[in-house]
Amino acid sequence: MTENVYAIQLENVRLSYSGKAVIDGASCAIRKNAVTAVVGPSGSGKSTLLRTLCRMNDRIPGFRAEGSVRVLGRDIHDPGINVYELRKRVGMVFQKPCVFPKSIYENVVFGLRFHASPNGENFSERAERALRDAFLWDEVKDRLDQPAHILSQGQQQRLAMARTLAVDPEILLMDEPTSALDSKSANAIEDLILSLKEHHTIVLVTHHVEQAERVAEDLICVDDQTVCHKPCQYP
Amino acid sequence: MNKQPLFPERGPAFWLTGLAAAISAGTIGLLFVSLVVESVPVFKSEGVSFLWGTDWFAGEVYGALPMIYGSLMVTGLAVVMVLPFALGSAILTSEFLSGRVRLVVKAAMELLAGVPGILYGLMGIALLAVWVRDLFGLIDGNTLFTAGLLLAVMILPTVMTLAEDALRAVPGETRDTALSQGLTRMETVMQVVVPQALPGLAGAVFLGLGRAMGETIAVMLVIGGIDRIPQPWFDLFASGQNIPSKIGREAAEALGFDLQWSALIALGLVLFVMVMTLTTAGHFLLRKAR
Repeated sequence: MTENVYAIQLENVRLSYSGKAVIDGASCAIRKNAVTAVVGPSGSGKSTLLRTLCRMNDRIPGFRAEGSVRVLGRDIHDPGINVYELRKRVGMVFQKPCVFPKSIYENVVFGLRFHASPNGENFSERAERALRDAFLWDEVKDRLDQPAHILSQGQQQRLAMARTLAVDPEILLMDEPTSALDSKSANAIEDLILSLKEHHTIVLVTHHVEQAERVAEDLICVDDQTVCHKPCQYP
Repeated sequence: MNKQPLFPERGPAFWLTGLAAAISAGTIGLLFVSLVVESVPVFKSEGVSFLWGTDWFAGEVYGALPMIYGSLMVTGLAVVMVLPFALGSAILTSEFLSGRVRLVVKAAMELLAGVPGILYGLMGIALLAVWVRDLFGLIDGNTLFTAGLLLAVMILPTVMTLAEDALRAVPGETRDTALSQGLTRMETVMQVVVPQALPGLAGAVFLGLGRAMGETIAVMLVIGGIDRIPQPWFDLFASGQNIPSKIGREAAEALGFDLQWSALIALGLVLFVMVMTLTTAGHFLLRKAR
């Protein structure tokens, strides 16, 4: 029943690096098709928590996750879980916009090239949709074959969003996506987040409480190894 | 406007360090100039055919082609043989080993890179040449192939650590981004990390090549020491000669004998230009990668 309401459920989760706990005894749930902000002081483990949700910490030596992390109804640490499939359904956008040294178009379809079924799906259509969803289409539609690094930082971050959206994830994890951007670009990203929640569950790590207030319905505070829900006063 | 002087402070420290720097830089310049000056006689006597000539008989004719051929062949062979192993171990170390193991591997490789060439040469003549002889049924195990193989072993640590540095220089976010798109570790490495590290990887190989091309003593021991281009030219299981080995063998006897001496210096000049080209290209590519 709860699985229809919640996209992510954490129960008694402990995250540690080489035995040193970053988060201990965390339990919380994240609603579907809503924006949940994760706030807390620097170094409190916000990013670690977020990265755990698509198992991005797997490759970090000494990292260990215990307890139950259920994403879209399944425990992601089950041995039967296909982690690559999981990461397709749970996309992630990072703090620093990272574009590959390829054309704008190739950046958008980057993930598709690895996942698309061989029956010839129309990449350019999906690329256009992803770019439109990321509010970037009008700015780049005439120069899709130009190198992506000519774009501004804000545009690069939206390109990174488009690249993630192109794979059609159900959950979007965002790790301080505006902290490297100027305020105008940051506003664009915030608008984008609000428009995306209709079809996506969004978890947003931020250290701007104001930003959390502007875009998020739910708030999760991470501090001193614990995680707690806070009702958001600003709907 | 207040113009900054070119050298803001010209105290004793400036002049002292400046002198040291000038001497260091001047040495290289002087080396190049003396190579050019001393090789003039042989170019005067032989003309350009010094570079194309295939015969070298001291006192009669000086043709450097067999040595140039030997150098290119042996170095090329070394790079072909070293590539898969150096790149493979660099990828393993940079992408799949945990921090502590990685440091151990790196330290071991850097240590290996400093082993004197003569030790490799001894192993080469005692083991490698014998193995090559027995394995391929040759009369003599001292061949171009043996020299190339030995050089591959010698430059492996250098190429591997530099290639590993180049891979590590690719930012972690790039890997994170690729992985978060659902790529496997292998796809991430092969399709994202390696392509981005390509200039650095090429630089690593070029520097390795430069080292291989200039290596003298180890090659001298196993190359066979015959100034000829094999028939057919791609027969690597024949004895040959490369530039450093030729110079090393003849320098003592040629000293004072004008034209032969000049011919050896000219060989040195050719080697100098080839190695400098490779090394400069390597450094340029490595810098570009960072």
